[in-house]
Amino acid sequence: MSDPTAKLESFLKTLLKSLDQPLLPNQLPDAYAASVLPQLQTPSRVIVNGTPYGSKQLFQQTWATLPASQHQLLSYDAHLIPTGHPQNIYSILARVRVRFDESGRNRLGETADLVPVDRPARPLYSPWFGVTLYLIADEQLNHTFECECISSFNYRVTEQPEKSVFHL
Amino acid sequence: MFQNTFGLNASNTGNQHSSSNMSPSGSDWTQNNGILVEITGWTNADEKDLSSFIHRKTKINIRIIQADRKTGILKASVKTDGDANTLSKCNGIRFAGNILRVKVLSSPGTTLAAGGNSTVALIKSALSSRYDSTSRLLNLDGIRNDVNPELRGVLSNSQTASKFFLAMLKIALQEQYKIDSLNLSNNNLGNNSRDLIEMAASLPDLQNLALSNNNITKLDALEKLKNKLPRLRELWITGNPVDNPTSTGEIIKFFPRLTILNGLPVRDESKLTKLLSFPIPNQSSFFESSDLQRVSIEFTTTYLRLWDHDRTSLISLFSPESQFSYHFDTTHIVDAPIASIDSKVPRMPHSVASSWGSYISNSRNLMRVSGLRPRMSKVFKGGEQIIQAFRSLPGTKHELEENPQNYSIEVVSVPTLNAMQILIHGGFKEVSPPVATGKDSNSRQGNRFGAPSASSRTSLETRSFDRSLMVIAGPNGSYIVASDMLLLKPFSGLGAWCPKFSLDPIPSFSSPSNEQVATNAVDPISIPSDIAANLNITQQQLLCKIMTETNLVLQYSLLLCEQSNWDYGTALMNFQNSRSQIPREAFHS
Repeated sequence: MSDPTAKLESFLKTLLKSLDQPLLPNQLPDAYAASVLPQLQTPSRVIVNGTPYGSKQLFQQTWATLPASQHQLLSYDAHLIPTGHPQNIYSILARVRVRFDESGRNRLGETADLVPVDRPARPLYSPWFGVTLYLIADEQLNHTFECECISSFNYRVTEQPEKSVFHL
Repeated sequence: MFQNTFGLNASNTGNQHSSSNMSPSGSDWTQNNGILVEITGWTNADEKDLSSFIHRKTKINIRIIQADRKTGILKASVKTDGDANTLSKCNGIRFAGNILRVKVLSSPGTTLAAGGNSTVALIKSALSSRYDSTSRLLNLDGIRNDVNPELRGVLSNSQTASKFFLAMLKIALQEQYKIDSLNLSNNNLGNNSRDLIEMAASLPDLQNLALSNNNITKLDALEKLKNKLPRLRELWITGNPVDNPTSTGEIIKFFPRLTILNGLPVRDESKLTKLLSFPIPNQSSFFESSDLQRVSIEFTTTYLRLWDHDRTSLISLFSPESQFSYHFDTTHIVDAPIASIDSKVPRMPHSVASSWGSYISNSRNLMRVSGLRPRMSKVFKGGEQIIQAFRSLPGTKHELEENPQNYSIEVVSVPTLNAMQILIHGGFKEVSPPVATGKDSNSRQGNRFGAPSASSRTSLETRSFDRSLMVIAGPNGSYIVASDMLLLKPFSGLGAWCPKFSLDPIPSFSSPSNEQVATNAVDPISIPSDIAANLNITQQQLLCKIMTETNLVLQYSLLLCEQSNWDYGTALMNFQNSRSQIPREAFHS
């Protein structure tokens, strides 16, 4: 018997990396948005801070307007739940922390500047926010991460630093 | 507008300094620039550890004046009365195995009183004449040329002048002045960045600052304020050598929310607000449908009530395939405000073992537990094992029913299982040690359910948690919990979903409503604005809850809440007791 949870850590890290990836040179905003969490099924249940998204595309486009972010996986636990169908599902509960660029520029490079500003490329990160991530994903992820295997994605900021300029 | 507020015009630009050398009588207050505190119970660690510990817990920097290991007395100073008050709440907390004792020895007021009542009076008089409570503006424009000769005397010396400004701010804060705007124009301020840094530390939420017609020559003086004034939106530096076209781009980098520099817009404010806000509204709860809302709230409330009072009775909710596991993560992301921690509960133990002892042996943080056998041994399957695991955890008290606003619940359906998935976030208090001991658990599994020695040593604390429940509809309206996962965290105060975190209006985002799976189905009952205006948010929520649960009309629900002193439990009890006497028209038809 092999460990059914063996691949989950790298799966979660792949997801977080996709939430943080920067816009590539010459990449169009739509193409960039489509690269955010491609593992979401169409349709899937996406809930971010209590706000539901029925459309994967709308979630991706909204996420693309965020400033640069940096997620870090802190802990996680998971159950493999039998469904009676060929594919069982994973119920995954993870604790993550995240920080956002506070330099006044989003990941598409948009700023609010009305005068020329010579900005360093490096983000000016906020203090850490606490996030709880909950996923329901198909067993299929054990074969490849490049598949639409997430049927439910819940992202909830649970802790907000008081001194952060970026806020909910 | 800012120009009008600050009265910045040509007539204020003259700097005529008095040549008087008159200094304030008894001016030793300038050397006693802080509030003295005495701390004992720190000697198991060094002073730096204590200082870091206090900063981590209170965000206050203490300045150590004297640390005597023989007597165990450490004397330090803090900047404001507020700091001293916050620090005094550390009295009784654990540090390096000892109990810290904190005593506030003096305040600026007392120090000043001893050394110079006239100076305090002078400052207070200057403050009252220069503070506008409507615009929250402290206008110290040209105070060096004040008509009061004594004041001019104090301000003629650059050293006493800078301390005078700080003392003035300190007393203003002590006197509860709310300051959004500060005008320090025409005061011959130089590059002494320490003064500006101290000013920024005293007024971290300052929004408007005028430093026009001073003598700031270096960009460094302003750069030192970087990250110190995160809410500053308007700055005036005209009439300073540092003000030149090339410096604008640099200056706006120091202040992330700066939108107006010298009266000219440098950033698009609405766009900036959008860039610095999470683009998705922050709702405390979500229910995929009104049916799921009703069922899940009832289920969750009952589940947590039984979890608190009679865990064994939950056994009927588990099938042989049901799974339960928990894990904890000790990372402090934000510290709970010290005032929000129950002083009766021992706090801040110095080791993971003493704080998390009851949870260590079976914590299933898969980042730390590796290998098939250890991982699988920490998942409890079937009713009997699950109840044993429940009994190995401390007794708890949730406040979901009393303070529902402190919890977040999100519920979606899981069609493949004909189930609902409930996610709860919030906090609980531990009220008793675990019931189960090693003797109760399966002897073949050793200490699987928590060794008594470790558990009995563990302190009872308040914790934050996240919990996921996968609940399947069973036969005859029953439920089966297919999966229960619990994540425990250090207590971090109110969750980020609570209203106090809404610093600015949440910006609208691109019309998601028609594509959302459902509208947020949190209580849709609306309270008329004239009534809502007299109630705080908690009272409004309680009123909605009482209306829902009792079916009483608004007027009677309000009466019930008021007569029950806005206590949920009392209101329900009063309702039950007097139900038979309530007129029919008091209920919704």
